[in-house]
Amino acid sequence: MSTLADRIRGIVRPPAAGGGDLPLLPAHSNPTNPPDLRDPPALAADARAWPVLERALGGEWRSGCFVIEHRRPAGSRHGKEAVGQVAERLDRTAGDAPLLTHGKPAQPPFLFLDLETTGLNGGAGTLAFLVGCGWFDGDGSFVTRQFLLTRFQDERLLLEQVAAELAAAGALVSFNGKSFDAPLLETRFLFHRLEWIGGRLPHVDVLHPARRFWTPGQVAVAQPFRAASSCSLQTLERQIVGARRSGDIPGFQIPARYFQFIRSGDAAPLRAILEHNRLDLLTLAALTARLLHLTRTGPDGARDAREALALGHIYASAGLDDRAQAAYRHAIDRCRSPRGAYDGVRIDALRRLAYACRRARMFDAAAGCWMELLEIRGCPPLIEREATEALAIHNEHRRRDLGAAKVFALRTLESGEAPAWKAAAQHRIARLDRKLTRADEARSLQFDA
Amino acid sequence: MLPATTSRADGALDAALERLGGRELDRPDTPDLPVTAVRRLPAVTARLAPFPDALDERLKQALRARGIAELYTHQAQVIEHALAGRHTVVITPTASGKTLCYNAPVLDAILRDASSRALYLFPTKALAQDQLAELQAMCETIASPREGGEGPEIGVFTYDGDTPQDARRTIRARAHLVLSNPDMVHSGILPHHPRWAKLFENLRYVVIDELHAYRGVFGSHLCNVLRRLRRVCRHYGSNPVFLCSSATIANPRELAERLTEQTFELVDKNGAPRGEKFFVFVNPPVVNHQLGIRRSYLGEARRVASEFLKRNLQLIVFAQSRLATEILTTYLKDDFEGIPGAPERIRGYRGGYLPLRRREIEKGLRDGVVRAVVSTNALELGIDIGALDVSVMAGYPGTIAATWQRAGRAGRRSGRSAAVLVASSAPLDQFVVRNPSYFFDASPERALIDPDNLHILVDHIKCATFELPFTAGEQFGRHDVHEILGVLSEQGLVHRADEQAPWTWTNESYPADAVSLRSISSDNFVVVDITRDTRVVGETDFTSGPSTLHPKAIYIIEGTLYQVERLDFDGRKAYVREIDCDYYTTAISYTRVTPIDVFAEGAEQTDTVGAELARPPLARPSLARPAVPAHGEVHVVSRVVGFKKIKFYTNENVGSGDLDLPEQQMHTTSYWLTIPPEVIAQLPFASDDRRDGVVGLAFALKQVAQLLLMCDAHDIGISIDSGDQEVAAGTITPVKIFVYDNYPGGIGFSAPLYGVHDELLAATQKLIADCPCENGCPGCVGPIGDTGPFAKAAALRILDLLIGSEEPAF
Repeated sequence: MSTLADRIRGIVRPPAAGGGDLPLLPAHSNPTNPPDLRDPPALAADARAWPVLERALGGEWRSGCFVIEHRRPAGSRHGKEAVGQVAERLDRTAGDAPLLTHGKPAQPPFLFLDLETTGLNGGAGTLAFLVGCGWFDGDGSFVTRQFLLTRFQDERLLLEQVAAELAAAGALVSFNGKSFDAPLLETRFLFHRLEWIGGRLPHVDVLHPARRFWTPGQVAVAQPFRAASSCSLQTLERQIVGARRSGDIPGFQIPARYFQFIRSGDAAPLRAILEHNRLDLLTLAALTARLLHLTRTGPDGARDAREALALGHIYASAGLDDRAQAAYRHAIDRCRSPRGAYDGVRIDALRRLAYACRRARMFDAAAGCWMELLEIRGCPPLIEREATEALAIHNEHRRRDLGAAKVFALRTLESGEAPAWKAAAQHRIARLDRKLTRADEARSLQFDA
Repeated sequence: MLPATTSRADGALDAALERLGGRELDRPDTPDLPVTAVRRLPAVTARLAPFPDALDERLKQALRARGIAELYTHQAQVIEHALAGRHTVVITPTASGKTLCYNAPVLDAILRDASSRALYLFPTKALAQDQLAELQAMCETIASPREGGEGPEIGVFTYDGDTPQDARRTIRARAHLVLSNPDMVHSGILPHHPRWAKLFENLRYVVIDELHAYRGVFGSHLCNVLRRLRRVCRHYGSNPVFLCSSATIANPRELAERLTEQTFELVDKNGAPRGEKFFVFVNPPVVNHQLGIRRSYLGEARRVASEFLKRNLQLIVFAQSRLATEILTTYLKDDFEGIPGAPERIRGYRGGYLPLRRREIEKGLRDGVVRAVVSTNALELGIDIGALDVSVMAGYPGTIAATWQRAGRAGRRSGRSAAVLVASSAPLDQFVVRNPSYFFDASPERALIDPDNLHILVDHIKCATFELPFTAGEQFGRHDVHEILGVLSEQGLVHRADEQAPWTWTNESYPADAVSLRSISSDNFVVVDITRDTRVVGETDFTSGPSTLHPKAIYIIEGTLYQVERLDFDGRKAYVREIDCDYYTTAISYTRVTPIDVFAEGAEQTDTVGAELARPPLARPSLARPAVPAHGEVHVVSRVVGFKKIKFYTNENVGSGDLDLPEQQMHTTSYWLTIPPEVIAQLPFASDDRRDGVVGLAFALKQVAQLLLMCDAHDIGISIDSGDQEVAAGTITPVKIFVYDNYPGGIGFSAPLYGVHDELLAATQKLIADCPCENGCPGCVGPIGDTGPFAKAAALRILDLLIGSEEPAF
């Protein structure tokens, strides 16, 4: 009879997912390591007394947690600009940050936050093994403080230090942090029954405005069904910040490399992860400065129609309706395509301007936008329906032109198959018919009289 | 004589029963007549008890406001146990007020301390929905001052796969009572326990409803889910009390204790009143004696149902499959549906109907608008449909417990009701209908689980490590968890820094996603319908994939027939297309079982499944028992080699085909029976007929094993090993019949089956001997076309020789 271990080996298949390019190494045996970086017995005894980490990564132990602090001088360049220029611009435009937090009082000091994690799925078994924090110093240099989890037992100590770091911040700034980093950290805090103070801080998530500004093809004409497209920090770093990375570790390899460290005690492969995280933080800072600069300058500073349209969104969601309308008009004017040609930016801007005008009770202006939308060749059915419906309402209730209203209502009926639309349009047509009959009767009565 | 009728409905029921031939009471059972048995279960009066003093006054008030002034004795007992912090399992027939048993202590705890939390587990989402309404109404009464309540707002929410993402955060924050299912706890709650910290810190009660549903694979998984749940509770410092309710099974306390690994109080004396009930067994008459073919049981069920419907009695008809449900619904609609446009009086009900439609049907039943519902087992569980007059079962539900539960769907607290079982020609049905005392006098089945099945255990150890690191001294199940974690660490899934350090999860994956509680291996075949556009219409676990999804197989979902066009074995996909045909297919597979490790062998009896049928050990003649039973670990190799086309309704064989599919292998556990060469040699038959006898015996053995084990047909497999192929012709070798657990690693059937070896043989003998067919039929040794003309005689002769106590028949 086989032993328990043998029977289990027959059952457990090697994991298909994860691993990346790096082969998983058996515990405590990594022949490729330089001997001076390996000291497993010391790891076994107490990771905190582990001098090799300091040598390999250049950090230090603080209250039981390994911290790597790094300073990027103001004069060094990151892409097109010097670090100090980014700092200075951010300083100048910081007052606009609440525009990106739906009005929450986001104010300096900003804490740029980026996690490296053991997986993307979340849940109790996914750890943030590296918590990267960054900020600008008074002299314009960019400081990063990275908290590294060297063993599971020390997580609580790490989180306590991170909490202290967050407590000093006026706002959190992240890239996709509202969906990923913050909930993940929150889970870790909850796991250890610690209070998650991140929930109280205003949180600027740069991903969403960045996507509106800079992701090509993202001006979705069917906005409600917009699919998320890839808008990675690295892409924006190249295209917007103009920086190039060399020797960067691909994100998908990061967990496997960390697990390798955990098993072998060899910290050297972590260097690339630390550097990756530091660059992510700096790029995040540069993008934030660029975004705030744009919102401060307004549509005149926009490079193209798309940026102007994105500004409109930001103003609108911050409740600045006048500025939003101006930005949408600007976007429509900047469209290079001729009137009536299919253009995603124009369609989206017109549609949003129409709604903005209606909110401002500028009904004729709104109707003008809807009419212009209907002129566009290949206008998407969803928008055609919206436009015809809005125009039917406009003609029925504002202009009291029942005939025109009926024409638009019939067009709504043609524009789609969804039962809810159909029912609504049929209902409207029936009502218009009743009104028209009544009007006819009234007229004929007048005539008889 | 029937007792004097008390109401018009009672009179109608009497008349219908008389028409069916079931009027005569105290009659002896008549296995050969269409009505084989009639039993009268006398009315029982209520036994009441006052509210326990300790119960919160506001709760008592709310109960009184809802018309409950006193408790039944069993309710009071459960509540007292619960309030004292004792884990309790209560046996609850239908309509005995089981929900109050656990709702009262749970609400009491919340009223005393608003931070208290409770988790309810139901085997299906529909049951959770059903309970939600009742609990919410109760909580409203407590909170509403108008009805005399003055209590706090109590949040009751379901949390399952249908819960919208944006509602989940609210539920985590506000729910006092979370109504969920094991699958959701496994993949959605436990792995995210930090987000549920409030629940786990304050978890006072875990309620497990329909405990008997957790047997076999599902139960073995649930046990591990509960192990994980208790680990997480320990992490947050809580220690919940388990309250379980179960239908009548033989071992409710044992099952509860095995599932939760806690000591339980059992409350099995029911205090609820019950009206008089008649139980009638109907066997459709034989129309072809030679082939042993009976009249269609569906037609017979239609006739029975009509007798009651005609007299305006409200009834439920249980069918064994979705297809049968639709057929019977159509029959009854044809017979009884009123003018078009009038409210529908006859309704079908099964899984696959939309929730809204189901709610409408349930309401129609409670209101009396719906006069008959034809259902699958979907309505067997505790969905509230009120009390009906009659329950008609078209086909034996498979277990004694399920039969009582379905019968319990008819029966008011006062007044008469009836349950009618119409047997199909399946062997199990025939055995039960012809041996009524087996059903009426035997204890119901035991629910068996094997939570330490390594396949299941290892999966849950992965999930558990993901949830919380394993500390050095921690245990999880019967096996050495640290040895298992050691193997997982070889795979890079877990790691510990040193012997004292905890094991942590070191992989990017989310292990719960890869584990389904309803099957053993997460590997499965997906069924893709390519009739119009490509869409996934179903899935099948890996083991049964080749036999149900082989090329040209007919695959049936919700009454729609599909034919498999291509099986992509490596891609685990079957491409099917809708087809209109009048046959279905069954696979012919070749299976070879090799014993690896014998756990026990010989006459030793360790178990007592349904001991009523087994003879006392001392009365057993010792010399004349040449059959050698054994159980142990085996290696099963199986391959689907062909298939047969079987015509619907007539079950005629209308064609066949060959197949070339890859082999499947598994390690599992098995019971086997060795027939010594001397027995084979004594058979007065030619060698082909001897072989047919063994095949027929195995066929019947499987049916009886299924009956004794309370398992489904696909839970166990049979295989015959007629000895070494190399042996020269003429030499007689021992023959082994294997009844193996059809799951990798086994699921705990083999040892109990070994324990009831004697009963297994005796009941098999009875099944075959009592069957009225001449030379074998689907009701005993299998259809005559599949076996030879002497299969029945040879099988019986083998059994006589094995059991050894019978006079030789020749």
